[in-house]
Amino acid sequence: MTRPPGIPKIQVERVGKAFKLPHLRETSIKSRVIGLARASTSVEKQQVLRDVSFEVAEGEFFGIIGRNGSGKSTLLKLLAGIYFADSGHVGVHGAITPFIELGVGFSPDLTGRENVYLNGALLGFDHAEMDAMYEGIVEFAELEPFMDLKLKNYSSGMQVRLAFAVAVRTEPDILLIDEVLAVGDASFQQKCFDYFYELKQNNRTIVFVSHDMNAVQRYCDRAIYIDKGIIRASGDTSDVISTYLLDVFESSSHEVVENVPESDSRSTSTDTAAPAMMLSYSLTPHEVDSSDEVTLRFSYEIRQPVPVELRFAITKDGAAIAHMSTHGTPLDDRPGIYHATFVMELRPFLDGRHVVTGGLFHAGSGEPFDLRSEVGTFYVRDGDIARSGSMRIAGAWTELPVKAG
Amino acid sequence: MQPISRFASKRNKALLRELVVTDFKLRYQGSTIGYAWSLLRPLLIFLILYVVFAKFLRLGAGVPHYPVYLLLGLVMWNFFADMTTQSLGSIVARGDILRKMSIPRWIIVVSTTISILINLGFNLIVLAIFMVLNRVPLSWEIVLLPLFFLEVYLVGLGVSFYLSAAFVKYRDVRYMWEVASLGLFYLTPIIYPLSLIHNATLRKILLLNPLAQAIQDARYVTVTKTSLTIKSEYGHYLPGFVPLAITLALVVIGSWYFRREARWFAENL
Repeated sequence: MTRPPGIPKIQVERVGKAFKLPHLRETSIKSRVIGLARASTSVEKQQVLRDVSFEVAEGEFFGIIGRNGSGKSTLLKLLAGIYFADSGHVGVHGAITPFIELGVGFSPDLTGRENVYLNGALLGFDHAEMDAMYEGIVEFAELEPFMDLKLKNYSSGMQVRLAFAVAVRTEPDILLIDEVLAVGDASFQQKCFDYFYELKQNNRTIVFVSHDMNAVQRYCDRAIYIDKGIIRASGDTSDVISTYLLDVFESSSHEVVENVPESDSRSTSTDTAAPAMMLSYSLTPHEVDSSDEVTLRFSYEIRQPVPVELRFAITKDGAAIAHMSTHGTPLDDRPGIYHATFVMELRPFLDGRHVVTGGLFHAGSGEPFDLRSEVGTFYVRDGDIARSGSMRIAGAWTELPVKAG
Repeated sequence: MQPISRFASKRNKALLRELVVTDFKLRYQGSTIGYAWSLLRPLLIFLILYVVFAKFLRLGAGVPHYPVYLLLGLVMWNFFADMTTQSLGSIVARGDILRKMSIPRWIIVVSTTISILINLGFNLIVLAIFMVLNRVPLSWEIVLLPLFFLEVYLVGLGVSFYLSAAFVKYRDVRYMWEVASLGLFYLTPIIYPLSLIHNATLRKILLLNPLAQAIQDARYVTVTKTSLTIKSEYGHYLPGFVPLAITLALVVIGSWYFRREARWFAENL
């Protein structure tokens, strides 16, 4: 478990959470009675979170990423005190504002103004306190002319702006945000993130769940990646994101592989397997410095006449920094086994680990036939401390007042 | 048990107030005469029952000020019935909030009962008008009347806690309660005077129901000394502790069950 610097605001220790499976939930007394009459076996449960531990410190901007159904939202609801953990301990120190779904507690038949006060009350503020904050909320939401309009006449973007304005303007110690920003337009999103920075300056803590890796990368100090209820990676945001992205890539290639029935490779009857597939691939050498080259070799088989295309990408710190393909050069589409080699100069790359992902695609539709998340890895050892990032800037200082001695 | 001060925190009071106000604002939205229905509805319902039971069936023959006697019983019963039926679905109805925020769950039920209390106020205005029209002589004992309303409130609150929590898990509860409350309505001397039952033992048993006891006592202190009470049926006050104990038990069991289930509302909704 990574420990953050500073005072912990949120402490999650070995938390587990299971839900009863929906189709087994007794929603009527009759089914319960019937259920009792049968040999009462243990109720089937779906484990949503397992042994999850992390801490978030005061003033941190903390990201939670993972695929749909990985347990992110459940975790957020545990933090918000909406769900309760089956095992382990969730400790939250300070006033927490959950902003979990669109239009929390909003009533469509009330006006915008009335909804602000209702929402404020749900967050624990009385009328006088809301009076003091009202102006700021309306201003932040940019909805001055619409406050006496019933909420049902608002667009969904306006609703989320209003709800969000209440959530941030009430200045909680801890703000939980789940995905909702996707609704607002780009300028409002920017405004929200600017405001998050302001909150952060005031030592507020923000927990952010999102599928938008750019936003997570840009704003989060640290992050965790949850998969099937387990923390798969935690700590530095870019490391966590790259673990997540590689996993996503890998599973999408697995899906392609799983689509190929196993017996087909042996079967002599009509072939329903993928019309084209990778046989082998290699990357040599692994450790290089910038002057070197690496060689990528692909072998693939075409089983049915289809137009194919080879593609690969180079990722560094989880972000793709370059793509290459055979696009524009038609490849032989007759059944058979083929080899392809790409020699790559390493001059453009800087220090660090580079992962090559690649595969075989349909040249027309771009659908993948066979994808490999890691064709190979190479480490660039350069030692040029003046340069950093993912790309070598071509050129050099032509004039520089160098200190004497 | 937490101290009362925790329940009555500033935060909870503000939320309770806002929920009640919202509820009230929304109740008559879209109706032309709006809040006037709060007065008109009990009045019209009362007139129908009065015509049927007092005029056609002549159930109240021999009971002094029978219209007021009937109305008081109805007001008390409706207080209980409205409270329980409205509370029953209240947690489910507020599901959108409960799935997203961690407000104290009991506030939802209590805010519903407070809305019903406001309604009771309107009903009491109608009652007062009829007392004046009917020239009901006032005795000092009428100051005890709020106590019997408090008793009905507590019975209703206990039942409401239980029903609203159970309804989250079992949607049959609504239909069961419809039937059960209809049965309870006829087991309580509301439209018929208790004296109509000739079996003395049965009268004694019926009076142990806290609603029956509260209604009969309320009638005794407000309308007529001919209203049969625990004292008149048993000869002493002591059996009066039974309905009080039942009331207390309902509140304790209801809130215990609610508290136990409340943790799982968000995921069961």
